[in-house]
Parts: sequence; C-alpha cells; structure tokens
Amino acid sequence: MDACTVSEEHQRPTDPAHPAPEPPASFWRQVVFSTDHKVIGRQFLWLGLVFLAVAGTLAMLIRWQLAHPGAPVPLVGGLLFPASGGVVSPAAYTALFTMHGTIMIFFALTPILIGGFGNFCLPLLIGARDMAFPVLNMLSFWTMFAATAILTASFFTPLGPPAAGWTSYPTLSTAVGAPGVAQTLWVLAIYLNGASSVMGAVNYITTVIRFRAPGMTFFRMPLTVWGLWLASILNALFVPVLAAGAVLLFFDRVFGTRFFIAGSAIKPGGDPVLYQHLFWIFGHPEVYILILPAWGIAGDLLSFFSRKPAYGYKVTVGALIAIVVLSGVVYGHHMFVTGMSPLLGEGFMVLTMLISVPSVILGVGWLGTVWRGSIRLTTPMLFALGLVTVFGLGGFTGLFLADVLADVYLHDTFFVVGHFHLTMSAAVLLGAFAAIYFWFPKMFGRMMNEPLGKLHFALTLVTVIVTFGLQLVLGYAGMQRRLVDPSAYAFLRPLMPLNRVVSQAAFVMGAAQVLFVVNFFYSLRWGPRAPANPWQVGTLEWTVSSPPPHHNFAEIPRVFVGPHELGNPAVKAARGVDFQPQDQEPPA
Amino acid sequence: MIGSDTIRRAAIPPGSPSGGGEAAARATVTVGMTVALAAIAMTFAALLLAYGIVRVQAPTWPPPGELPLPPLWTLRLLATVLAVAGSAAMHVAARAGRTGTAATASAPLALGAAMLTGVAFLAVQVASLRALGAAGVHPDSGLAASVVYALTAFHGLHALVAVMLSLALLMARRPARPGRLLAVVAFWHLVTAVWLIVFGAVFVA
Repeated sequence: MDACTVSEEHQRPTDPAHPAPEPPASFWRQVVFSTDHKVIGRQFLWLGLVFLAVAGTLAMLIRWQLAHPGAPVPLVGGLLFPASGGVVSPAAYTALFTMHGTIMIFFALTPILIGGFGNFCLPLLIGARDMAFPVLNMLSFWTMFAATAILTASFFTPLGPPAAGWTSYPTLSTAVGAPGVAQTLWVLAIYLNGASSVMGAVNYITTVIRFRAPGMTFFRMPLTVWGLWLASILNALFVPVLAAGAVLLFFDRVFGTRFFIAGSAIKPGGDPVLYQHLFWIFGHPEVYILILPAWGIAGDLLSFFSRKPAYGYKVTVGALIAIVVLSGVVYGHHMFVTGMSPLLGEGFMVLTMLISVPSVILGVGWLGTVWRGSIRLTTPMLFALGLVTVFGLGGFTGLFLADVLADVYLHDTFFVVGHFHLTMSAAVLLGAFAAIYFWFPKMFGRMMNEPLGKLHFALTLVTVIVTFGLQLVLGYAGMQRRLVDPSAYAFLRPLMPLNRVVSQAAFVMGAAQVLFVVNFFYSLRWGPRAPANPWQVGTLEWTVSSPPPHHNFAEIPRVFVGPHELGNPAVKAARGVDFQPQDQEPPA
Repeated sequence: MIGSDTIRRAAIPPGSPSGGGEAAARATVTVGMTVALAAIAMTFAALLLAYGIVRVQAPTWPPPGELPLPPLWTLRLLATVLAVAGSAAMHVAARAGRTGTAATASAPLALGAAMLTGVAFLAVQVASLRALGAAGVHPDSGLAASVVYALTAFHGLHALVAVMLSLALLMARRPARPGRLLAVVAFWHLVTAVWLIVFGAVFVA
C-alpha cells in the first residue's frame, strides 16, 4: 500500500469476474484509517465542526472585549484568563484574533467544505466508486489531523499562543516580534495544513479528469463538482506559495536567516514586505478556494429547489473559470498601503474591478434560476438563498476596497473586517450549512429537523447581516482593526454603543448555533430514516441508498443528461415526476 | 423556457476514461503526478521569486555590508554533475520499466545507480554547507548566505525524498504497480531540474 495506489480496479465496469470490492472487516481499517472517501469525508466534517466551535468561541471572547473593554469575561473568564482576573489582556486579545482567523480559515471552513463535502460528494456526484488515490486521501486527513494537533499545542506554550494575526506578517512573526515556540508551531501547522490541501487537490483533480462515469461529460457535472474542482486547481497552484513563505519564515525563526528581517546600518538584512507578497499571492486565491465550492453548491441547490434547470449553466461555469484565472493576478490589492508604485497599484485595481464582471454573471445566473420557479423553501434552499444575499452584500463592499484611493482610508479598519466576513466567511459558512442540511440524509441516513433548521437559518441570517453590516459602518467611521480597547481613543468613544450592538448580534448568532448542534445530534440518533431521494433530484448520489453502500455503485452508472433536468413536461408526462435522474435515458 | 430541448439525447463518448486496466491506471498516475509535481514546482518557483525580489532590490549582490561568499566551484560543479547523472540513471530505469520483459532486469541496476548518485549528491551538499560554515558564513551572516542555506537545505530535503522513494522501489518484494516507477522518475527529474535552476540563478548569475 502506498500513496500511488490507484483505485482503478474499482472503476472497472462490473461483471461476474469483477464484483464491487468488499468493505474491510477490521474496525481500524473501516473507521479510523479508512480509505473510503465517504468515511474520510465524515472525518473531515467532524474535525471541521469541532474547530468551528472553537473558533466561534474565540470570536465571542473578541466581541466581549470590544463591547465591554476591561470587564471580566462572565462565566469562563476566571478559567481562561486567571492571571488578569478574567479580563482579556492586550496579549490575550491579539492571541484571540490570531487564532480565531487561523482556525476559521484553515481548520474549520476548509475542512468542512473541501475536506468534508469534497470527499463525500465528488466521487458520488460523478459516478465513481472512490477517489483516484484512496491511500493518499487517507494520508491527507491524517496530515490535517497532525496539523490541528500542532496548532492546538501552540495554545499551551510558556509564552502564550501565536499572536501575529492570521496573516502572521513579519516583523510581528519573526523571532524578534514573537519569541517562543508558539509562532514556530503555527508555521509548522500551516505547512502541514497546506500539504494536506495539496494531497486533496491531487486526488480531486485526478478523480474528476479520470473517473467520471461514462457519459458524464464536463458539462454534465453538477456545479458543486465544478466549484470543488476549480478550487482544487487553485489549491494545487497557490497553497505551495504560502508553503514557500512558511519555509522562509521557519528558516528565519529557527536558523536565523534574514529574509524578512529588515537590514540596519550595522547588520544587513531582507525585507518584511517580501512575506506579504508570498502570503497574498496565495491569500487572494485562497478566498476563492473557500467560496468556489459554496458557489457551486448554491448553484445546484437553487436549481433543485426552484424545480428548474440552472439558468445559464455553461455561462456560469465560464464565469467560475474566469474568476479562477483573475484570482491569480489581483493579489496586489491587499498591499496598496505598502508603498507600491502607483502604476502597479492602478493595474491591480483595474484587474480587481474586472472580477465584478464574472461575479455579476454568477448573480444573474442565480436570479434567473430562481425566477418564476416552483420554489420549495426547504432549509438547504434557505441557506443557499442566504449565501447569495450575504455574498452580494459583501461583494459590493469589495468595490470600495479595490479602489486604491478608498482603500488608503479603509485599509486596516473594520470595513475590511466586515467585507471579508460577509464574502468569504459568513457566505462560506452559510454554504457549509446548506451542504450539511442537504447531504445529511445521504451522509448519515437520517433526515434533519426542518422547523428547527429554519429557525437556525432565520436567526443566523439576521445576526450575520447585523454583525458584519455594522462592522462596515464602524470601519467607515474610522475604527481600526485589532484595537484591544477602542474606548481608549476619544474619537472612537462615540462608536462604543455601536460596538455593543455588534457584539449583542454576535452573541445571538453564537447562541443560535446551539439549535444546529441540537438538531445535528438529535437527527443523527432519532431523525426519521432518509429515503434514497428525499429532495426529488436527479444527480447520481440520490440514485443510491442513504447512506450509499461501500463503493457507492453496484454498477458504474451511465449518464445521459445534465444535473439540473427539472420541471420537464415530457418527463412529467412519461414518469409522473418532475425530475430526470442523470442515469436514466430521457423519454423520447 | 423549459422544454424537451434542454435534455440532450444519450451520448456516451466511446473510450470513456473509466475503463480499468493497467494502461488506465498508468494514465491516472500520470495525471496525479503531474498535479503533484506542479505543486512542488510552485513551491520552488515561489522561493526563487523571493530570491529574485531581494536580489533585485539590493544595490549590489551580495548586498552592501555582506562579505562575498566562497564560490566552492568544485563542490557546486560536482553536485550538478551528480544530479544530472542521477536523472540519467533514472531515465534508463524508466525505459527498462516501460519496455518490460528482457529489459526489466536492468531496472534495479539503474535504480541502484541513481540512488548512489543521489546519496553522493546529498553528501556534496552537506560538505558545501560545512565549507561555508568553516569560512565563517552562517545562515544569519546576511541575505546572500540566507538564500544559499535555505535553498540548499530545502532542495536537499526533496533530494532525500527522491532517494528514499527509489529505495522503496528497490526494496519492494512485488513488482512495482503500473505507473509508480514512472512517478518516481518524474519526481527525480523535477528535483534535478530545480537544482539546475538554483545552480544557474544563485551560484552562476
């Protein structure tokens, strides 16, 4: 067994000589070190959900400090910050926002959407029995697990957790700015996390190219698969650039090289801004790595629950590809205030503005899909609509930040915080919830509770918009990011009531997630048994039982139609249902 | 407008990708290995970009205030020759593996030769770092020294992986699965190519 082991034999059309392979018998091979993409998908999902809870809790502590600076944190303050009598100290505050960002992006949203649903959905949706390299897939999860273990360890180091921000810019992150082992552990965790992502990307890209079922042409793939596949291409190309930044930072911290330490009159040195280049060459594609799967999922769900084909499917795919290409050439807009040449800044501004063209095409596609559909407002549909709404709001605010002159004022304010939370955090989180509510029946064989899910949705959507919308206002009013106590500044003191409203909305958002946790665990145990196709849609995962058998398909399906053949009168007349399964020949 | 025209009639492309068999497995490994090599190449490209940025920004190279590094031409050229020789041996191994039957016997020989050159390459790289240290050049001596130490070490780690992968192929009791030898050979070639670029960009230029 090695990482090159190919599951090609699994993909062979079934005949008596080649039956579908049997599942492994032992507990370890079946549950822990499984090579089954469905098990690995669930492992990633669990890991992501645990760290989502951790990072969410950190956010609550951040919001407590911003609403009530200097007041001890109620209930858990004495336990978490004993040295300061339960008060969030400046050092603790920097650690809080650093770990909140790091965990949310690398260890919660990425594992849930790409690790969890990427693994679970991708082979099922294209009619494959497993990933191309199942052993590599298992290694990808356990590399991620090692990364989470190292990052968790960094919380408990003598000089405190990493505190150089999720971007870990030098000089904050050098051995001078961040002495102690915690920041080195952060670098290692990010490197391993990247290695895991690249292993996943190798699998996803290869599986889509090689393992599509007969008839599953590229333009018959669900948009979810397109989103995951394109995100994997970005992962394979740009995560290595972050890895290079991490390697150089590691050398600087451990071996004393001088890449990111500015030179002085007595000692020559490098350039702290160099790290920013490496970080953002990766960092801007990263936001699309996060949102592309969510966009794909939204595109599919809007079609499924409007009972209509996705409007402009091929144009939507074209827009996704255009965004992938553009995402690689706009990173400079994160660095407008580093003193870059105005000409270069203008170039990055124009390229960034161009992204709004394919983005609007996506939006038109979503609206056209819902337009005059027979809309079924199920929980997954509500979350998909919420994603579109929140992403729209956040996307428009991106136009301000893409503009060099506006950015000089807005940079490093809460306007940026509000913008990226709406676009690449809240929108992605809503997409993750849409995916969980939609595929939970297929993953776990039981239905989730719909009324509880709708309440969860309503509370989450309203609080997301209030929390991050008001952050835009705070930033516009001039409040900087990363201030431990805004009330220390006379010009920010009038904003404190607004800060408290943001925090209260955030606390309600946090509390609303209890509804999800209850629903998740209750449904896991007591939810009604899921039928094979509870949502009445035609993609391949719904043609097999819930949960699917080991190796998914007794026979590799043959695909005849695209993923969104809904509401067709000819199908309705012939079969009495309004959807056309992808593996059935359409009526003449 | 929804109509039956939205449904395209059954068109199963002939020779669809998922057919099973050895040739198909080899093609799958090729795709996977291409992606993996692209990712590794991007890591080195980013490191070389970083080197390019600091070098372009510096008024002179090495930057003012830094002593010139000892060129160590003998060791650098020896490393380059060994890297190319290793890749050549791997090329022979790949051809033997591809043609199969009678020629297969020469694959372990070529693999073993490649492994030896790989180990020698690593030894030369360690010797070059020790020679730098002996001349008083350490990682924290300055930017030029940082570049040499970081690139030599990070590239060396990849060369070590290449040697270990070849060792794993040699030690395997069963004959290698289809495509695995070719994947290791491709990785080996990438490591050699990166060294040639580093040699040209860092030591010659």
